[in-house]
Amino acid sequence: MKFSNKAYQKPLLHAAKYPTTAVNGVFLASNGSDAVVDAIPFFHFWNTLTPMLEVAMTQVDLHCKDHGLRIIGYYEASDKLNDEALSQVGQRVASQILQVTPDAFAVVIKNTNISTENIAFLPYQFKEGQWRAQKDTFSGPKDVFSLENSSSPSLAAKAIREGLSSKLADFDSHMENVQEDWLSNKAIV
Amino acid sequence: MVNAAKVLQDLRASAERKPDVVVRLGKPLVESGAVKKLDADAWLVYEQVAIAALEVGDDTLAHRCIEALEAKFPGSARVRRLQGMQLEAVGRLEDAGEIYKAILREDETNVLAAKRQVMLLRTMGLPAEAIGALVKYLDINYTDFEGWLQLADFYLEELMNTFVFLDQLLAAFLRYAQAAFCMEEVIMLQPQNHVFHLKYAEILYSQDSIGLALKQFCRVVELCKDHVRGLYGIKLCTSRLLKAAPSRNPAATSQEDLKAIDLLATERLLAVYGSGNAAASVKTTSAKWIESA
Repeated sequence: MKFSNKAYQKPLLHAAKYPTTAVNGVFLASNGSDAVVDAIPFFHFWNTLTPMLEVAMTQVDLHCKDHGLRIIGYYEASDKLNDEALSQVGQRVASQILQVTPDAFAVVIKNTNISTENIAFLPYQFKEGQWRAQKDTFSGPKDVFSLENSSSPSLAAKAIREGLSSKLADFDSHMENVQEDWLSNKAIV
Repeated sequence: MVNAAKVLQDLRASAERKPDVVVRLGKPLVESGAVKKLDADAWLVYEQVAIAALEVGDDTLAHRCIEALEAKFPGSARVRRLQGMQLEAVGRLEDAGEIYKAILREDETNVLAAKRQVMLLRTMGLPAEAIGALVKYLDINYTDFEGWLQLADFYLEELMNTFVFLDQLLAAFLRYAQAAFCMEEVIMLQPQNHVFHLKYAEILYSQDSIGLALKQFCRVVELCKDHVRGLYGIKLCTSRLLKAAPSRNPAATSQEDLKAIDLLATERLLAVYGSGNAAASVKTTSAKWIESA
């Protein structure tokens, strides 16, 4: 899983935009490749309820079909600063993706690393019957999880300092105002 | 300076949570001492800036504000609650808990301390205790709709953690039912706010009470014209109900009505996406969804 700059940056801007609530979304990869090329932010109002998750997932599926992409992973950031466990909701969504995509993974955002030079992704993989945190990752380009551009963390920190997060749209904000472009977020990439 | 004070006052009145704005405007007021020229408002600004500073992690600024308040109102419960929050911010959760307990020992109706204690228990990873404390609080303050809203959220969070103990479906159903009950209280207190109907509808849908969810989603759209999320909810419910066998319950919405509601929701959604300047990619995708659902 090699994360493009866009796929690394969007989840962090999402978490930075809503520091007091939990946020979540999904990662997209190109068909037939495990390069993670994009991320789509879902919610910040509440993520424990299912109806709008159904709508978001089907719409992202349709978006993927049009662009030769597939859903490959799930991300979330807790509203609690030091909480890096994959929530039960997260486990359920990730397990659903796993049913379609055998190489599916999940990422919990390390809130304390958001505006720093350190990598703020804690990946989870489904091994031996449960979702397990993969602590020693991002060690280099050969690792299962890596960054396409090693300066992505500092670029993301710079984007947050410059207030770019206020321009990010997720599905919650799109439903409030349909002009918000949650699928591609052109304003920030 | 006058403008900054005005903006801070507006933010206090609307109770919007914008700690970054409050600190940006309030910090120069506090540091230059200009805040004292605001007379009686000065102490409200100190309190407001203190809380915002704790939220954005500016502990020095928070300390300065709280010291000023402590000097003016020594021993006040309202100031001690801020000191408790300061301890929470640096991770001294148990010391903070002692402060809240002491305030509540003197006055068990102290709303601010009771609320802090509930959230403190949640932060400490004790959800059952947090629920217990909040239920106790609502016994006294049963008209506090925000308290009920928080309780609904606790049950929904808990929902996800109780599966190990009980039969999964039963446990899930009970928690959703409890969250739904809380939302009924909220709606009784605030019947005109469509967001609460929306949350209630989504809980009912998650609980698989699709027929009731449909009625609540319709209520959302009735209170707030062309509410996109409400219309999406309606489409989800009608397509589920139309796929299922017709209900024999006479109170259930008839197949004809379901089809009519579905058609109307489709029309409104397409109209909303057609009129706004929605980005092209979003437009195509949503149109496909609307026509296929």
